[in-house]
Amino acid sequence: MNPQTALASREPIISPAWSPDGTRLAYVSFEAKKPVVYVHSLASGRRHVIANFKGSNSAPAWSPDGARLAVVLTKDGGSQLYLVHADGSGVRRLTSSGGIDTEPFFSPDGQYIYFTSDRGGSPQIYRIPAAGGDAQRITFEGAYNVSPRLSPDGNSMVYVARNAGRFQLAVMNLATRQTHLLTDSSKDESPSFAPNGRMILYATEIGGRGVLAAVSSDGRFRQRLSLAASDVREPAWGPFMKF
Amino acid sequence: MQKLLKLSLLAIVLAIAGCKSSPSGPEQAGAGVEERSPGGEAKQVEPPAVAKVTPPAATEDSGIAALKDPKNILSKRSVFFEYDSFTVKDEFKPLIEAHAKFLVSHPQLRTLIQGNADERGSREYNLALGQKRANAVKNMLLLLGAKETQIESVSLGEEKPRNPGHDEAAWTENRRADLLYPGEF
Repeated sequence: MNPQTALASREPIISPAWSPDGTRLAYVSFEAKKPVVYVHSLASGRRHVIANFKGSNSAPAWSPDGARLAVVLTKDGGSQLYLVHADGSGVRRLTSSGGIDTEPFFSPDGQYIYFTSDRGGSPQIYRIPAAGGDAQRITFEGAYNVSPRLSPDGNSMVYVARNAGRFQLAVMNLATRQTHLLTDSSKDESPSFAPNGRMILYATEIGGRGVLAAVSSDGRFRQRLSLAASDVREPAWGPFMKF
Repeated sequence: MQKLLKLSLLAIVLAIAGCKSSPSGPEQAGAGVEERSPGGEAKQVEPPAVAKVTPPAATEDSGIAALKDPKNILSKRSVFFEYDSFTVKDEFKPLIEAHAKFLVSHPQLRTLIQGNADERGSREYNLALGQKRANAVKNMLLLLGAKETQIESVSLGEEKPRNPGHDEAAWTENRRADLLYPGEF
Protein backbone atom coordinates (compact mmCIF):
# COMPACT_ATOMS: atom_id res chain seq x y z
CA MET A 1 0.00 0.00 0.00
CA ASN A 2 1.23 3.42 -0.85
CA PRO A 3 -1.17 6.00 0.57
CA GLN A 4 -1.06 9.56 -0.70
CA THR A 5 -2.37 12.51 1.23
CA ALA A 6 -4.92 14.53 -0.72
CA LEU A 7 -5.56 17.12 1.96
CA ALA A 8 -4.19 17.65 5.44
CA SER A 9 -6.18 19.73 7.92
CA ARG A 10 -6.22 20.12 11.67
CA GLU A 11 -10.00 20.18 11.59
CA PRO A 12 -12.09 17.11 10.74
CA ILE A 13 -12.95 16.15 7.16
CA ILE A 14 -15.83 13.75 6.55
CA SER A 15 -17.96 12.21 3.82
CA PRO A 16 -15.49 11.92 0.93
CA ALA A 17 -17.22 11.14 -2.40
CA TRP A 18 -15.45 10.39 -5.68
CA SER A 19 -16.67 12.04 -8.87
CA PRO A 20 -17.74 9.36 -11.39
CA ASP A 21 -14.64 10.04 -13.55
CA GLY A 22 -12.31 9.72 -10.57
CA THR A 23 -10.70 13.15 -10.98
CA ARG A 24 -12.43 15.03 -8.19
CA LEU A 25 -13.35 14.44 -4.59
CA ALA A 26 -16.24 16.10 -2.80
CA TYR A 27 -16.05 16.27 1.00
CA VAL A 28 -17.16 18.12 4.10
CA SER A 29 -14.58 20.16 6.02
CA PHE A 30 -14.97 21.78 9.44
CA GLU A 31 -12.12 24.27 9.07
CA ALA A 32 -14.63 27.18 9.12
CA LYS A 33 -16.02 26.02 12.53
CA LYS A 34 -19.03 24.62 10.69
CA PRO A 35 -19.50 22.02 7.96
CA VAL A 36 -18.82 23.31 4.42
CA VAL A 37 -18.84 21.22 1.21
CA TYR A 38 -15.83 21.39 -1.11
CA VAL A 39 -14.96 19.84 -4.47
CA HIS A 40 -11.26 19.09 -4.81
CA SER A 41 -9.51 18.32 -8.12
CA LEU A 42 -6.92 15.69 -7.25
CA ALA A 43 -4.48 16.34 -10.11
CA SER A 44 -4.24 20.11 -9.63
CA GLY A 45 -4.89 20.34 -5.89
CA ARG A 46 -7.37 23.13 -6.60
CA ARG A 47 -10.55 23.10 -4.62
CA HIS A 48 -13.65 25.21 -4.44
CA VAL A 49 -16.60 25.65 -2.14
CA ILE A 50 -19.81 24.26 -3.56
CA ALA A 51 -22.03 24.80 -0.52
CA ASN A 52 -21.42 27.26 2.30
CA PHE A 53 -24.84 28.53 3.24
CA LYS A 54 -26.04 29.70 6.63
CA GLY A 55 -26.24 26.62 8.86
CA SER A 56 -24.68 23.25 8.05
CA ASN A 57 -23.64 21.97 4.61
CA SER A 58 -22.89 18.27 4.26
CA ALA A 59 -23.30 14.80 2.72
CA PRO A 60 -22.25 15.42 -0.92
CA ALA A 61 -23.22 12.74 -3.49
CA TRP A 62 -22.41 12.88 -7.22
CA SER A 63 -24.93 12.31 -9.98
CA PRO A 64 -23.74 9.51 -12.33
CA ASP A 65 -22.94 12.06 -15.08
CA GLY A 66 -20.80 14.12 -12.69
CA ALA A 67 -22.72 17.31 -13.50
CA ARG A 68 -24.57 17.71 -10.22
CA LEU A 69 -24.35 16.84 -6.56
CA ALA A 70 -26.99 16.14 -3.99
CA VAL A 71 -26.13 17.88 -0.70
CA VAL A 72 -27.74 18.39 2.68
CA LEU A 73 -28.32 21.99 3.74
CA THR A 74 -30.01 23.54 6.76
CA LYS A 75 -30.37 27.04 5.34
CA ASP A 76 -34.17 26.78 5.49
CA GLY A 77 -34.37 25.06 8.92
CA GLY A 78 -33.82 21.33 9.33
CA SER A 79 -31.47 19.05 7.36
CA GLN A 80 -32.96 18.63 3.87
CA LEU A 81 -31.78 17.40 0.45
CA TYR A 82 -30.86 19.89 -2.29
CA LEU A 83 -29.37 19.54 -5.77
CA VAL A 84 -26.55 21.78 -6.91
CA HIS A 85 -24.42 22.00 -10.07
CA ALA A 86 -20.83 20.78 -9.64
CA ASP A 87 -19.63 24.42 -9.66
CA GLY A 88 -21.91 25.34 -6.76
CA SER A 89 -24.52 27.17 -8.83
CA GLY A 90 -28.24 26.51 -9.23
CA VAL A 91 -29.22 25.25 -5.78
CA ARG A 92 -32.63 23.59 -5.80
CA ARG A 93 -34.49 22.01 -2.88
CA LEU A 94 -35.47 18.36 -3.37
CA THR A 95 -37.17 17.22 -0.14
CA SER A 96 -39.60 18.95 2.21
CA SER A 97 -40.05 16.97 5.38
CA GLY A 98 -40.38 18.23 8.93
CA GLY A 99 -37.59 15.94 10.08
CA ILE A 100 -34.09 14.92 9.07
CA ASP A 101 -33.32 14.02 5.44
CA THR A 102 -29.66 13.17 4.84
CA GLU A 103 -27.09 10.79 3.30
CA PRO A 104 -28.25 11.08 -0.34
CA PHE A 105 -26.91 8.56 -2.88
CA PHE A 106 -27.84 8.47 -6.59
CA SER A 107 -28.97 5.24 -8.21
CA PRO A 108 -26.53 4.33 -11.03
CA ASP A 109 -29.14 5.23 -13.69
CA GLY A 110 -29.53 8.68 -12.11
CA GLN A 111 -33.31 8.25 -11.72
CA TYR A 112 -33.52 8.08 -7.94
CA ILE A 113 -31.82 9.45 -4.89
CA TYR A 114 -31.73 7.08 -1.91
CA PHE A 115 -31.43 8.77 1.48
CA THR A 116 -31.89 8.44 5.25
CA SER A 117 -34.86 10.12 6.92
CA ASP A 118 -36.50 10.10 10.34
CA ARG A 119 -39.84 11.27 8.89
CA GLY A 120 -41.47 8.02 10.04
CA GLY A 121 -40.23 8.38 13.64
CA SER A 122 -36.96 6.44 13.33
CA PRO A 123 -34.12 6.69 10.81
CA GLN A 124 -34.99 4.59 7.73
CA ILE A 125 -33.97 4.53 4.08
CA TYR A 126 -36.20 6.12 1.45
CA ARG A 127 -35.85 7.07 -2.20
CA ILE A 128 -37.14 10.02 -4.18
CA PRO A 129 -37.08 10.64 -7.94
CA ALA A 130 -34.08 12.86 -8.77
CA ALA A 131 -36.49 15.05 -10.74
CA GLY A 132 -38.55 15.55 -7.57
CA GLY A 133 -41.75 13.88 -6.35
CA ASP A 134 -42.89 11.65 -3.54
CA ALA A 135 -40.51 9.72 -1.31
CA GLN A 136 -40.94 5.96 -1.02
CA ARG A 137 -39.83 4.02 2.06
CA ILE A 138 -37.34 1.21 1.35
CA THR A 139 -36.39 -0.28 4.76
CA PHE A 140 -38.90 -1.51 7.34
CA GLU A 141 -37.08 -3.99 9.57
CA GLY A 142 -35.53 -2.58 12.74
CA ALA A 143 -35.44 0.94 14.21
CA TYR A 144 -32.20 2.26 12.68
CA ASN A 145 -31.23 1.79 9.01
CA VAL A 146 -28.87 4.38 7.54
CA SER A 147 -26.10 5.14 4.98
CA PRO A 148 -27.53 3.58 1.77
CA ARG A 149 -25.11 2.81 -1.10
CA LEU A 150 -26.20 1.11 -4.31
CA SER A 151 -24.24 -1.51 -6.26
CA PRO A 152 -22.93 -0.40 -9.68
CA ASP A 153 -25.61 -2.52 -11.43
CA GLY A 154 -28.31 -0.89 -9.28
CA ASN A 155 -29.69 -4.26 -8.14
CA SER A 156 -28.67 -4.19 -4.51
CA MET A 157 -28.20 -1.72 -1.68
CA VAL A 158 -25.76 -1.95 1.20
CA TYR A 159 -26.54 -0.01 4.38
CA VAL A 160 -25.84 0.13 8.10
CA ALA A 161 -28.42 -1.47 10.41
CA ARG A 162 -28.48 -1.28 14.19
CA ASN A 163 -29.16 -4.64 15.81
CA ALA A 164 -29.27 -4.76 19.62
CA GLY A 165 -26.98 -1.74 19.85
CA ARG A 166 -24.51 -3.03 17.25
CA PHE A 167 -24.01 -1.28 13.92
CA GLN A 168 -23.60 -3.84 11.14
CA LEU A 169 -23.64 -3.93 7.36
CA ALA A 170 -26.72 -5.33 5.66
CA VAL A 171 -27.52 -5.78 1.99
CA MET A 172 -30.92 -5.66 0.29
CA ASN A 173 -31.91 -7.12 -3.05
CA LEU A 174 -33.91 -4.17 -4.39
CA ALA A 175 -36.11 -6.36 -6.63
CA THR A 176 -37.20 -8.82 -3.92
CA ARG A 177 -36.58 -6.49 -0.93
CA GLN A 178 -34.90 -9.41 0.85
CA THR A 179 -32.15 -8.43 3.27
CA HIS A 180 -29.30 -10.19 5.01
CA LEU A 181 -26.50 -9.17 7.35
CA LEU A 182 -22.98 -9.09 5.94
CA THR A 183 -20.95 -8.59 9.12
CA ASP A 184 -20.96 -9.62 12.77
CA SER A 185 -18.94 -6.68 14.12
CA SER A 186 -20.45 -3.79 16.06
CA LYS A 187 -19.14 -0.46 14.79
CA ASP A 188 -19.34 -0.73 11.02
CA GLU A 189 -19.76 2.44 8.97
CA SER A 190 -19.43 4.01 5.52
CA PRO A 191 -19.88 1.03 3.17
CA SER A 192 -19.06 1.49 -0.51
CA PHE A 193 -19.18 -0.99 -3.40
CA ALA A 194 -16.12 -1.81 -5.50
CA PRO A 195 -16.59 -0.76 -9.14
CA ASN A 196 -17.12 -4.43 -10.10
CA GLY A 197 -19.82 -4.81 -7.43
CA ARG A 198 -18.21 -7.88 -5.85
CA MET A 199 -16.63 -6.32 -2.78
CA ILE A 200 -17.80 -3.79 -0.24
CA LEU A 201 -15.28 -1.60 1.51
CA TYR A 202 -16.16 -0.27 4.96
CA ALA A 203 -14.72 1.06 8.19
CA THR A 204 -14.99 -0.77 11.47
CA GLU A 205 -13.30 -0.80 14.84
CA ILE A 206 -10.98 -3.45 16.22
CA GLY A 207 -9.37 -3.06 19.63
CA GLY A 208 -10.50 0.56 19.88
CA ARG A 209 -8.89 1.48 16.56
CA GLY A 210 -10.58 2.37 13.30
CA VAL A 211 -9.61 -0.08 10.56
CA LEU A 212 -10.43 -0.53 6.92
CA ALA A 213 -12.17 -3.78 6.02
CA ALA A 214 -13.75 -5.42 3.00
CA VAL A 215 -16.48 -8.03 2.63
CA SER A 216 -17.65 -9.88 -0.47
CA SER A 217 -21.12 -8.75 -1.52
CA ASP A 218 -22.53 -12.18 -0.62
CA GLY A 219 -21.01 -11.89 2.88
CA ARG A 220 -18.90 -15.04 2.54
CA PHE A 221 -15.44 -13.45 2.70
CA ARG A 222 -14.24 -10.75 5.02
CA GLN A 223 -10.83 -9.15 5.11
CA ARG A 224 -9.24 -6.53 7.31
CA LEU A 225 -7.02 -4.09 5.43
CA SER A 226 -4.89 -2.49 8.07
CA LEU A 227 -2.93 0.71 7.91
CA ALA A 228 0.00 1.33 10.17
CA ALA A 229 -0.47 3.25 13.39
CA SER A 230 -3.48 5.39 12.58
CA ASP A 231 -7.22 5.42 12.86
CA VAL A 232 -9.01 4.82 9.57
CA ARG A 233 -12.48 6.18 8.98
CA GLU A 234 -14.90 6.65 6.12
CA PRO A 235 -13.36 4.90 3.13
CA ALA A 236 -14.89 5.42 -0.31
CA TRP A 237 -14.00 3.11 -3.18
CA GLY A 238 -13.00 5.08 -6.26
CA PRO A 239 -14.44 4.44 -9.73
CA PHE A 240 -12.70 2.72 -12.66
CA MET A 241 -10.58 5.40 -14.29
CA LYS A 242 -11.51 6.24 -17.89
CA PHE A 243 -8.68 7.65 -19.98
CA MET B 1 -5.83 -11.36 -1.38
CA GLN B 2 -2.99 -9.77 -3.26
CA LYS B 3 -5.52 -8.65 -5.84
CA LEU B 4 -7.71 -7.15 -3.18
CA LEU B 5 -4.80 -5.24 -1.72
CA LYS B 6 -3.97 -3.86 -5.13
CA LEU B 7 -7.57 -2.90 -5.71
CA SER B 8 -7.61 -1.17 -2.40
CA LEU B 9 -4.99 1.22 -3.72
CA LEU B 10 -7.92 2.74 -5.54
CA ALA B 11 -9.58 3.47 -2.26
CA ILE B 12 -8.93 6.78 -0.67
CA VAL B 13 -8.69 6.71 3.03
CA LEU B 14 -8.99 9.71 5.20
CA ALA B 15 -6.89 8.95 8.18
CA ILE B 16 -7.71 11.39 10.90
CA ALA B 17 -5.24 10.62 13.58
CA GLY B 18 -6.55 11.68 16.96
CA CYS B 19 -7.13 15.21 15.86
CA LYS B 20 -8.03 17.51 18.69
CA SER B 21 -9.25 20.89 17.75
CA SER B 22 -6.92 23.78 18.13
CA PRO B 23 -7.69 27.30 17.04
CA SER B 24 -5.64 27.81 13.90
CA GLY B 25 -5.35 31.52 13.35
CA PRO B 26 -7.86 33.65 11.51
CA GLU B 27 -10.08 31.48 9.34
CA GLN B 28 -11.46 32.79 6.10
CA ALA B 29 -14.92 31.39 6.56
CA GLY B 30 -16.10 30.22 3.18
CA ALA B 31 -12.92 29.85 1.16
CA GLY B 32 -13.12 30.48 -2.56
CA VAL B 33 -10.88 28.60 -4.94
CA GLU B 34 -7.58 27.63 -3.42
CA GLU B 35 -4.30 26.09 -4.40
CA ARG B 36 -3.43 23.50 -1.83
CA SER B 37 -0.55 21.11 -1.87
CA PRO B 38 -0.56 18.07 0.38
CA GLY B 39 0.01 19.22 3.93
CA GLY B 40 0.79 22.75 2.76
CA GLU B 41 -0.78 26.03 3.60
CA ALA B 42 -3.82 27.11 1.69
CA LYS B 43 -3.44 30.15 -0.55
CA GLN B 44 -6.54 32.12 -1.34
CA VAL B 45 -6.75 33.00 -5.03
CA GLU B 46 -10.39 34.01 -5.46
CA PRO B 47 -13.04 35.58 -3.27
CA PRO B 48 -15.73 33.39 -1.71
CA ALA B 49 -18.10 31.88 -4.24
CA VAL B 50 -21.15 31.06 -2.15
CA ALA B 51 -20.25 32.24 1.28
CA LYS B 52 -21.52 35.40 2.87
CA VAL B 53 -19.44 36.16 5.89
CA THR B 54 -20.32 38.68 8.52
CA PRO B 55 -17.19 39.87 10.28
CA PRO B 56 -17.12 39.40 14.03
CA ALA B 57 -18.26 42.41 16.02
CA ALA B 58 -15.80 44.27 18.22
CA THR B 59 -14.86 42.36 21.34
CA GLU B 60 -14.16 45.46 23.41
CA ASP B 61 -17.85 45.81 24.16
CA SER B 62 -18.54 45.95 27.89
CA GLY B 63 -21.14 43.22 27.47
CA ILE B 64 -18.41 40.77 26.56
CA ALA B 65 -16.96 40.85 30.07
CA ALA B 66 -20.23 39.41 31.36
CA LEU B 67 -19.84 36.49 28.94
CA LYS B 68 -16.57 35.52 30.63
CA ASP B 69 -17.53 36.24 34.23
CA PRO B 70 -17.91 32.90 36.03
CA LYS B 71 -20.44 34.49 38.38
CA ASN B 72 -22.63 35.53 35.47
CA ILE B 73 -25.07 33.02 34.00
CA LEU B 74 -23.96 34.26 30.54
CA SER B 75 -20.65 32.46 31.08
CA LYS B 76 -22.61 29.21 30.93
CA ARG B 77 -22.82 28.23 27.28
CA SER B 78 -23.69 24.55 27.10
CA VAL B 79 -27.12 22.96 26.86
CA PHE B 80 -27.16 19.17 27.32
CA PHE B 81 -29.66 16.76 25.81
CA GLU B 82 -30.97 13.27 26.50
CA TYR B 83 -30.25 10.39 24.14
CA ASP B 84 -32.03 10.80 20.80
CA SER B 85 -33.72 13.96 22.13
CA PHE B 86 -33.86 17.58 20.94
CA THR B 87 -36.01 18.94 23.74
CA VAL B 88 -34.44 21.67 25.84
CA LYS B 89 -34.74 20.51 29.44
CA ASP B 90 -36.24 22.90 32.01
CA GLU B 91 -32.94 23.24 33.86
CA PHE B 92 -31.41 25.00 30.82
CA LYS B 93 -34.23 27.47 30.26
CA PRO B 94 -32.81 30.19 32.57
CA LEU B 95 -29.50 29.98 30.66
CA ILE B 96 -31.21 30.42 27.29
CA GLU B 97 -33.43 33.21 28.64
CA ALA B 98 -30.33 35.07 29.84
CA HIS B 99 -28.66 34.75 26.43
CA ALA B 100 -31.85 35.86 24.67
CA LYS B 101 -32.00 38.95 26.88
CA PHE B 102 -28.33 39.63 26.18
CA LEU B 103 -28.85 39.35 22.40
CA VAL B 104 -31.89 41.64 22.56
CA SER B 105 -29.88 44.27 24.44
CA HIS B 106 -26.88 43.89 22.07
CA PRO B 107 -28.53 43.81 18.64
CA GLN B 108 -25.16 44.15 16.88
CA LEU B 109 -23.88 40.88 18.40
CA ARG B 110 -24.06 37.55 16.67
CA THR B 111 -23.99 34.09 18.20
CA LEU B 112 -22.98 30.78 16.64
CA ILE B 113 -24.75 27.75 18.10
CA GLN B 114 -22.85 24.52 17.53
CA GLY B 115 -24.83 21.31 18.03
CA ASN B 116 -23.11 18.02 18.86
CA ALA B 117 -23.98 14.34 19.03
CA ASP B 118 -22.48 11.30 20.67
CA GLU B 119 -20.39 8.92 18.56
CA ARG B 120 -22.89 6.13 18.09
CA GLY B 121 -24.21 5.59 14.57
CA SER B 122 -23.81 7.27 11.19
CA ARG B 123 -21.64 10.40 11.02
CA GLU B 124 -23.93 12.27 8.67
CA TYR B 125 -27.05 11.27 10.61
CA ASN B 126 -25.31 12.45 13.78
CA LEU B 127 -24.52 15.73 12.05
CA ALA B 128 -28.26 16.13 11.43
CA LEU B 129 -29.03 15.24 15.07
CA GLY B 130 -26.60 17.93 16.26
CA GLN B 131 -28.33 20.39 13.93
CA LYS B 132 -31.70 19.58 15.50
CA ARG B 133 -30.24 20.39 18.93
CA ALA B 134 -28.71 23.66 17.72
CA ASN B 135 -32.01 24.56 16.05
CA ALA B 136 -33.92 23.86 19.28
CA VAL B 137 -31.76 26.41 21.12
CA LYS B 138 -32.00 28.89 18.24
CA ASN B 139 -35.79 28.64 18.07
CA MET B 140 -36.04 29.34 21.78
CA LEU B 141 -33.81 32.42 21.45
CA LEU B 142 -36.00 33.65 18.58
CA LEU B 143 -39.18 33.15 20.60
CA LEU B 144 -37.58 35.21 23.36
CA GLY B 145 -36.92 38.14 21.04
CA ALA B 146 -33.48 37.60 19.47
CA LYS B 147 -33.33 38.27 15.72
CA GLU B 148 -32.81 35.69 13.00
CA THR B 149 -29.85 37.72 11.67
CA GLN B 150 -28.10 37.41 15.05
CA ILE B 151 -28.08 33.62 15.17
CA GLU B 152 -26.50 30.90 13.08
CA SER B 153 -27.12 27.31 14.14
CA VAL B 154 -24.73 24.68 12.81
CA SER B 155 -23.67 21.16 13.70
CA LEU B 156 -20.34 19.50 14.43
CA GLY B 157 -22.03 16.10 14.69
CA GLU B 158 -19.79 13.57 16.42
CA GLU B 159 -16.60 15.11 14.98
CA LYS B 160 -15.49 17.34 17.87
CA PRO B 161 -16.23 15.42 21.07
CA ARG B 162 -15.59 17.39 24.26
CA ASN B 163 -15.09 14.06 26.01
CA PRO B 164 -13.17 11.59 23.83
CA GLY B 165 -14.27 8.56 25.86
CA HIS B 166 -16.51 5.75 24.66
CA ASP B 167 -18.86 5.30 27.61
CA GLU B 168 -22.17 6.67 28.84
CA ALA B 169 -20.47 9.50 30.76
CA ALA B 170 -18.67 10.69 27.62
CA TRP B 171 -21.79 10.38 25.47
CA THR B 172 -23.80 12.43 27.99
CA GLU B 173 -21.22 15.21 27.81
CA ASN B 174 -21.15 15.14 24.01
CA ARG B 175 -24.90 15.43 23.41
CA ARG B 176 -24.78 19.18 23.61
CA ALA B 177 -25.27 22.57 22.00
CA ASP B 178 -22.79 25.40 22.71
CA LEU B 179 -23.33 29.14 22.32
CA LEU B 180 -20.31 30.99 20.93
CA TYR B 181 -19.82 34.73 20.56
CA PRO B 182 -17.53 36.76 18.28
CA GLY B 183 -13.89 36.02 18.94
CA GLU B 184 -14.77 32.48 19.98
CA PHE B 185 -15.39 31.02 16.53
